[in-house]
Amino acid sequence: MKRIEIQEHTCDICVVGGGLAGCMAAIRAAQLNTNVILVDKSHPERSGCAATGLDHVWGYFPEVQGREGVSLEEMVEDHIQNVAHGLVHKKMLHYIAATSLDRILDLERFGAKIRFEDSTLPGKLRLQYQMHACRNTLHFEGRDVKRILSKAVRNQGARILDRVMVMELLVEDGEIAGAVGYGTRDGKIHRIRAKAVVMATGRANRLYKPYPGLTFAIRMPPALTGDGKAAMFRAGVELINMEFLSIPGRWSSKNLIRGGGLPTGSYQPPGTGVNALGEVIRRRNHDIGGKTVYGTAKTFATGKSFQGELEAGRGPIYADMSWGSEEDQKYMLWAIENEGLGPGLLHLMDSYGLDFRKHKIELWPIEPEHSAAAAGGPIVDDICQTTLPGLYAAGDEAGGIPGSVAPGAFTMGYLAAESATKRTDQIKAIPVGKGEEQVVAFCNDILSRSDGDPWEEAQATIHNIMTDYNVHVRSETMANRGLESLDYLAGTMHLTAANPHELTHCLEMRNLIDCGKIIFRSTIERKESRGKIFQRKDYPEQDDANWFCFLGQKMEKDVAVFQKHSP
Amino acid sequence: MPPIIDKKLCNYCGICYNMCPQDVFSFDRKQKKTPAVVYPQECWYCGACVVDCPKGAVSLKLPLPLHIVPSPALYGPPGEEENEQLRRAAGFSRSIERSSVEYKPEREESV
Repeated sequence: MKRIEIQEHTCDICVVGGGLAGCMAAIRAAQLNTNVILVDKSHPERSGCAATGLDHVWGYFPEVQGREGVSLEEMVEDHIQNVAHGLVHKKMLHYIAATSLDRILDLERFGAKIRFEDSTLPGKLRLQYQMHACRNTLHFEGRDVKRILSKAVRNQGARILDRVMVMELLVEDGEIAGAVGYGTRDGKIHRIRAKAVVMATGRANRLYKPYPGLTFAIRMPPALTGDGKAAMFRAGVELINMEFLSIPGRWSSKNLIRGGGLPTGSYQPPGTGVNALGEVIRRRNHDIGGKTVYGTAKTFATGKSFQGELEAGRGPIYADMSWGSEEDQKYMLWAIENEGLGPGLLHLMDSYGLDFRKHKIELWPIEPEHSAAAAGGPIVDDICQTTLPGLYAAGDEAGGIPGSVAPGAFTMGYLAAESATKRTDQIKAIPVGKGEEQVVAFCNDILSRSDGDPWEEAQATIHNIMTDYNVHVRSETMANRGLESLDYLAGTMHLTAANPHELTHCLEMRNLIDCGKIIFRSTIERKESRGKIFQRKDYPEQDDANWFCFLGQKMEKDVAVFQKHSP
Repeated sequence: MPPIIDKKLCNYCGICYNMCPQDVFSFDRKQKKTPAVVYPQECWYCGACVVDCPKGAVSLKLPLPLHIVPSPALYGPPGEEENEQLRRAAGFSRSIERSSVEYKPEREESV
């Protein structure tokens, strides 16, 4: 029988996940520490949500918003009320809004182009409307943002441990002691001992069936399988908001680009959302810009919704950008080149003649998304510290800040690294820690089998269970059945793997199952409905008296316990 | 097959193999051979291999479920006067000072 080989690494700070948050954390950590390791399941050069680009990042630009009569506090309040519907970690949100520009200026120092001659705004910035009631989102040349950040990570002296999927956390005397990963190419267990760990593995994207029907054709990266959240939960860390889910995750052009080319999405200047009758359902950017009065809720609304139009028999929904001038058309192509997944849409334009000037682009209600507007993850304090001392979380990994997105990643990554550094200064020796036994046994079990169940069957089963009991109809009885079904799957599947690539997928199934169970348990616990992100058939009303709170869930002696937290 | 590598252009540098977030390629640095797409069904269609290939040897072939069926646009090119107004307004959205935009909504929207 093959036994798995274990390789040990030591460092002051281990950053898990090399997306926007992880890269920014590794850069700041390496500026302040000598010994930093950035672990990535893929490679930070093109991993995470911004793999092939990020064309927008929101923030507070005092010289613009200030002159347009919007203060930082007003912008934050707008986000609290209209994006997060009140349920948000307010101090962290304020920090994100206040320091986003600092991190954008870091990006510029690292080599990103953020200023443009055609802008007449201070600093030559291209500022757009996105999800706030003011013009506060920078459009920039971010196609290669991950390559730029990876270079900065290396220049600051952090070591990159690529193609390693972190599976478990090492703990010693109730404090963090490192992380345990599996080499997706070398097939080894990597034991990374550290004085502090920053988690930045993002969302659990493969829980829900992808809209186009292909397992990996989802809007957000399919490599993200809730590895960090599952590992933290197994280590006793408290997670919040895990019951929340965006259904659909977004109205999008089949995931060919992350934003749909509309306000609140990728907000191209001429983008208009229309129904099949040609009626405008979501207005143009300039319609908003010209007459926005700060503080009006639902800036982009016309009183109609895309879903409402479908149900009224006036679907499908399209993005129409045809009226834009040649200058606008050029601008949109520039934006698409710089936004994630842009190459797919450009391929259809080049090879099949798709053209914004001639065609409207159909938008579909794509697969549900965990996190994002839902913001499920570990509860963090004002310095990104989780409930496990020495363990920090940043970006989409952290719970409680809906709509934090890219600026949340940049600013919280930076903050988590500073917080981790304060801890490393106080700890003399790198702890040994333990916590890898279960995952080593799981791997050895799979390696010992010559035949069994392929991971694809487990993935399809998870998709079905989450769709049946979490997406279509949500109630206590359905969630209980979901729990039973995931338990059955975990106990019945005997996965096999022919190589490390397949074993990685098997390990992902373990994390998806754990994330699913957390979701079902919190779904049962929260006895109300809340906005678009949490609808229960058996508790259809919102109950602010009892449930205007973050619902925390953690493991204590193998039992899940719950706690409410005021935002 | 999602990414297609033109063997005539490939210089065996391995960048596509290094970059791919989904690890769909196999590549042996010691052999002068074009990387093979061994897990085509796991492609995210992100295009990292396309934009990073120094030889322009990689192209993306989207599977049919990801196609968008063309649908004629509604408005077509606006008239000259309207176009000028829209251009100014869109310019505002592309970051021109608010004061330089004279904005008038060009049509009423039904609510």
